[in-house]
Amino acid sequence: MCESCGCGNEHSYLISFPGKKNSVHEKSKLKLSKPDLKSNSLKINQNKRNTSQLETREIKLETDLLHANNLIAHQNRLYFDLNSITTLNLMSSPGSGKTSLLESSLKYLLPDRRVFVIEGDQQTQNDAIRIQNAGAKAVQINTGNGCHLDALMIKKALKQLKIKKQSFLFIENVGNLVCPALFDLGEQKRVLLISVTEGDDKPLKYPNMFQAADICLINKIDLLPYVDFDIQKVKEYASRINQNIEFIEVSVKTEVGIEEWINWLDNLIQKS
Amino acid sequence: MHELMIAQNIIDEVSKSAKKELATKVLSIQLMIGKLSGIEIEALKFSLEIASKGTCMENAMVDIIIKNGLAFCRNCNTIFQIEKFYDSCPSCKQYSFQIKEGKELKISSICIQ
Repeated sequence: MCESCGCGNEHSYLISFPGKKNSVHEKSKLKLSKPDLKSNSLKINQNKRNTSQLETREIKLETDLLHANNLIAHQNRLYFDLNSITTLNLMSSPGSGKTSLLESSLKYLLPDRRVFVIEGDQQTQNDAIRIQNAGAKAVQINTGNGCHLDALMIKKALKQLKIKKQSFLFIENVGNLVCPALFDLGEQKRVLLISVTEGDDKPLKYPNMFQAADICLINKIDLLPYVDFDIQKVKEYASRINQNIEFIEVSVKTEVGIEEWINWLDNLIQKS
Repeated sequence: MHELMIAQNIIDEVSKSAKKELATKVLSIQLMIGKLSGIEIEALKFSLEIASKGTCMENAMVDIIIKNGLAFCRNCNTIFQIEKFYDSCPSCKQYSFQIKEGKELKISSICIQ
């Protein structure tokens, strides 16, 4: 049950500001009807055809199945371009260090640059509170049972966040190396974060995510002496899947590599 | 998990088109899904079954064409079938290629009355 308004709709997501009681409870478009267990199951390529005398017509559609999401993502992208908002979609497994990376980045980015953050998690405002404490305005999306952010959630969050022109917007996606790769949010670049404690065969195990990413940050390199992680192997595997993917090795803990990351971000503004 | 959302998108798009064509019923839909699209076909079939109840797509047949992955090797210009993103070119064993087919995720057509 939703703590905010008590509704029991498990297909809703929540957009809120950290520490504030009022929040916007958005209902997802998805509706479920109760399955009728006695009815026929869906036939795939069955031979029986409808013998009605009504005219039967075939209509060519060629419609992308993620059409609805892509349309809204396109609207988001236009909004970002018109307002010179450099938007990054930050994705990783849970615990790779996305929020810590943002906290560390804010030390360098602020106060000279404007930074806004959209946080995505199933539950809690914990990450948005951390970002707020680090000095940036953040809004939290709680997806409930949802496993990824989508373009509509971002569009709704933007209405709450009121981002100024010529800003950075970081979207910290739900910790998940599978689903977020499929959903365009309207971002300029997709940033994939992995850490040296995760195993160097990650690219082979999660190829869709590595295919979708523009850059991969390898975090926690301060732990390399204590783990069996071959950085060259990771880069080689990832490059098989995505020949254009860039790499930056970082340690959020010791701040090694963070300046190189900030320079990469600043170069995005100059290119746009 | 998101196959249910995609099933709902399919039903919405089909319903819109059927309404536009003044159809009384959707008899069948034809989907094209690539092996590299990241979609789990069985989960999608199940989701369509559940989500189509009470809609114009209820009891419609669902034909799914599964597209194999096809890549073009930038190194030796070979076109080859690809199962996984990390496959190499069978001719020159290099990994520099462009995906030509296999990432499709679309409704090709619908059959209506």
